[in-house]
Amino acid sequence: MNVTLLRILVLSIRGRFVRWIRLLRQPKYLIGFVIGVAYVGFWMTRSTIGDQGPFFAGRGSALEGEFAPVLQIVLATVLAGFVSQAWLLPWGRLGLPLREADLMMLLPAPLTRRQIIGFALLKSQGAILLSALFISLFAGSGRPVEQTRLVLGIWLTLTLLDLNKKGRALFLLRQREIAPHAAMARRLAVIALVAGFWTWLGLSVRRAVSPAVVLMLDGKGNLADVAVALEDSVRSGAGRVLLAPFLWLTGLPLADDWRAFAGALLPSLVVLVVAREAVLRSKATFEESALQHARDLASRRSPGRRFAKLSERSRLRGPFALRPTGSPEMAILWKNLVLLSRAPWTRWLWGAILVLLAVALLPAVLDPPGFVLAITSGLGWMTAVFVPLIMSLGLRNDFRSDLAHLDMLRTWPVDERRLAAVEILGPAVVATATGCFGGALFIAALVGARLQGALHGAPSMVVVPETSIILGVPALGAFALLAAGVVPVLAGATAMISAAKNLAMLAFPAWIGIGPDAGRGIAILGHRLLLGSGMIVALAVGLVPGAILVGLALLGQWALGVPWSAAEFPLWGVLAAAPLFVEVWLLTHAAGRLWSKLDPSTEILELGR
Amino acid sequence: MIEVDGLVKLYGAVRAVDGLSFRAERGEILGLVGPNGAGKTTTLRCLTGIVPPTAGRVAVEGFDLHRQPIEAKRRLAFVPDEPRLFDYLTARDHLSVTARLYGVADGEERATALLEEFELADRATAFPSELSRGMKQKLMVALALLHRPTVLVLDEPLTGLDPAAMRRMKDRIRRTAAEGAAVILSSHMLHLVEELCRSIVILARGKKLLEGSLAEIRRALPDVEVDADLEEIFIRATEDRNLS
Repeated sequence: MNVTLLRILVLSIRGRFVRWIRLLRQPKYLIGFVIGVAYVGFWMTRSTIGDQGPFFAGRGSALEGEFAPVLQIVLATVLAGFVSQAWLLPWGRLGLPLREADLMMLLPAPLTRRQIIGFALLKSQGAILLSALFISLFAGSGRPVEQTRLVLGIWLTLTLLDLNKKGRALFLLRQREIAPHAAMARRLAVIALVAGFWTWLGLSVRRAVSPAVVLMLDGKGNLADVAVALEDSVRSGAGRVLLAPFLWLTGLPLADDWRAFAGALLPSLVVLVVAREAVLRSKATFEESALQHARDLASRRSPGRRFAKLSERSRLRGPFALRPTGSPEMAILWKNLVLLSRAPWTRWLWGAILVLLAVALLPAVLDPPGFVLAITSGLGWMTAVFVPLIMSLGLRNDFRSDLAHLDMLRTWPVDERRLAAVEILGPAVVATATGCFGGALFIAALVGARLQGALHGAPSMVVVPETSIILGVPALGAFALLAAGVVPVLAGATAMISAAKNLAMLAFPAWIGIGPDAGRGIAILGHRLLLGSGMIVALAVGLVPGAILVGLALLGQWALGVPWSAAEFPLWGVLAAAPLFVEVWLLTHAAGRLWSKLDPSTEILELGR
Repeated sequence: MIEVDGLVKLYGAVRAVDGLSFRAERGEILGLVGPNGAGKTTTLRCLTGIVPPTAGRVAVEGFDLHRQPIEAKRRLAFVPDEPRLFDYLTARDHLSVTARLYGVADGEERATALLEEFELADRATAFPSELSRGMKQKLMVALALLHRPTVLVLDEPLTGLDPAAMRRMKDRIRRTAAEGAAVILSSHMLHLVEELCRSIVILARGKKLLEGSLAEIRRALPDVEVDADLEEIFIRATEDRNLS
C-alpha cells in the first residue's frame, strides 16, 4: 500500500472523528452518546453479572457439548452459501464503491491499478472492524480474552464476505467488457462451479448421514448420532476439501483457546490473501463505472437506474388514484408507497386472494404430502408475526428517504404532526398488510389441511388437532379469531417500530444514513444490529402497558367467574393494541415537534451535500 | 407580498444573516446579490421555512411563516439552486403530488400546460435520472408555478439552461410577476438581476449593504459613474470596508 494512500485513509478517519466529536457539542447527541455507551456497556459487562452470550459463549457453555462441531459445520455451510449465491445473480453493483472525491484525486495520480483497488479494499476495513465489534458484543460472552478472539474471527469472516462482494462486482463489470460469447462462457463456468460444489457436497453429506437419519426415524438412533455422522462426512472425504476454507474461518470465532485459534488463523489468512489477490488482479476497467457510481451516490441518484427500467405503462400506475384535491397528506403516502411498488393495491389484493384460494382449495384436489401444508402454514405464521416487525424497521419509505429531500419537504404546506404521522404510516401500512396476508395464509393452510383430511383422509402435519375445542371454540374458528386478535396488535407494533425509528432519525439525523442508497452492505451490519436491538427494546417496553391491560381483563374475568373464551381473542387484541396506539400518537407528536425544530444547518445532513 | 424584518441566523458563533430586513411587493422582482458566503442561500432558506431563523420575522401575504406556516407556505414557492427531485417519481408524478399537496383543483390540466410550456411534455414519464440538468431545473420551476404562488423565491434559476431556455425562463419570471406575484431572485449572474429586477438588495457577511433600484444604489455609492452597471456597483460595494 502506497504511503500517501495510507495517509489519506488516516486523515479521512481523523476527519470523521473530529466531525463526530463536534456533533457531541449538541446536548442531544451527547445524551444519545451516553445512552449508547451505557447500552453497549451493558452487553460488555454481562459476564460480570452472570449472563452468558447467546451463541459463542466459550468454555462451559452449551455449545461445548456434542453439537458444537455441528454448529461450526452449519455456520461454514451458511458462509459458503453466502459466498456462492452472490456469483449466481447476473445483476448487482458494478466496480468499486469509491467516492467521487477519492476518484478525482486517485485516477489522475501516478498510481497503479493495484494500488487503487487496494485502497478501495482497505477503505471498508474500518466499518467492517466496527461491525465485528458490535456483533461480538451481542454474540459474545463478555470475557475479554474470548471477546478478543471473537472480534478477530468475525472481522476476518466479514472481510472474506467483503472481498467476495467486491470480487463479484468486478467480475460483473468485466462481463460487460468482454465479447458476449466469452461472457456467457464465464457465466456458465461459474454456475457449473457453484452447482458442482453444492451437488458434490450434498451427495457426500447425504451418503454419510442417511443411515443415521433412517435409524433415528426407526427409533434406533438419536439426533446425536446424526450429528456425529454429519461431522464425519464433513471432516473427511469430499466435504473436508470443499468446506475447508469456510471451516477454518468459522473455526476462529468458535475457538476455545488461543491454540485452536492459531490453528485456524494461518489457513484463514491464506484464504483471505488468495481472495484479495484475486480481486487485485481483476482486469475489469473499474475506473469509469466507479466514477459513475460515485456520481450517482453523490447525487443520491443510484436508485434511479432501478426505476429507469420500468416500462412506460408501469410508469403511469400508482398504488391508488391520486386526485388533485383532498387531504394533502395522502400525496405523501402515495409518494412513499410508490417508492416500494407502483402496482395498484387492488392488484395486490387480488393476487393475495388467488394465493389464499389456491392454498385452501388445491390440497383437496392435488392431495400433496403433509409437509407442504405444514411448511405453508409455518410460512404464514412467520409472515404474520416476524416479517412485519422486520419490514417496519427495514423499509425506507419514510423520513429515512425523505430527509434527503428536506429542502422540498419543508416548503410543503402540511402540518408537522400530520407529516410525521404519514411518514410513519408508510412502512407500517405495508408491514401490517404483509402480516395480515401471513395470518390469512396460515388460516388458508389450516382450511386446506382440513379439506384434504376430509376428502382423502390424509394425515395432516399441520399442527391443529382435528376435533379439539380451544377455549370453547372449535380449533379452526379459534385460530381465525386469534388471527383477528393479532391484527390490531400487529398494526400497533409495526406503527410503534416505525414511529420509534423515525423519531430516532429526526433526533439524530447525523447518525443515521439517509436516502434510499444510504447504509448498505456488510460494513454497516453492526450498526443495523445496534439499531434493530434498540427498536426491539422499544417495542418490548411499548408492549408492557397492553400486556398489563389484557392481564387485568383476564384477572377480572376470572374473579367474576366468567370463563375465558377464544371468542374474546379480538377483544384482547384490541385491549393489547390500544396502549400501543396511544404511544404511537405520542411518538408522532414528538416526531412532529422534532421535524419542526430540525435545523439542517446544525446537522451533518448539510455537510454531506 | 413578502416582508422580512430583522432576520438573524446564527451558526454557532457565526452570524450568517445579521438583522436583515426588506420587502417585496406583489408584481415586484427583487434581486438578492452578494459575494460567496454573504448569506444569500441561508436567507432564502429562512424565507421559505427550510431553516428556522434565530430571530426576526418573515411574513407572506401577512401570514407569519413561524406562527402560521401552513397559510404562509400555501402562498409560497421555492426553486433551489440544486434541483433535488425524488428518484422514484416521474415528472408527471412530481406535478401530481404537488397538485395534491397544494390542493390545485385544476392540477391535471395545469400540469399538462406547464409540461408543454417547459418543453417537458414528451418527458412526462421520465424519472429524474433520465433528465438533463436543465430539464430538472425546468421541472423544478414548473413545480413551483403549479399552485400559482403569490411569492416566488428563485435561487440561481438559469443554471444549466441553454440560451433559448434562459430567454424563455426570463420571460416566465417577468410574466409571473406581472400576474401579481412577488419574486425574489438570487443569482451571481448580475446582468440577469440588472435586467429583471426593479429593486436590488446587496448582501455581505450576512448584512444588507445597499437596497433600492439600480439608480438608487448607484447614487448611494460615492465616486461611482452615473452609467455604472450592477457589476461595477457590486464590486465597489462589497470591496468598500466602510459600508460593510
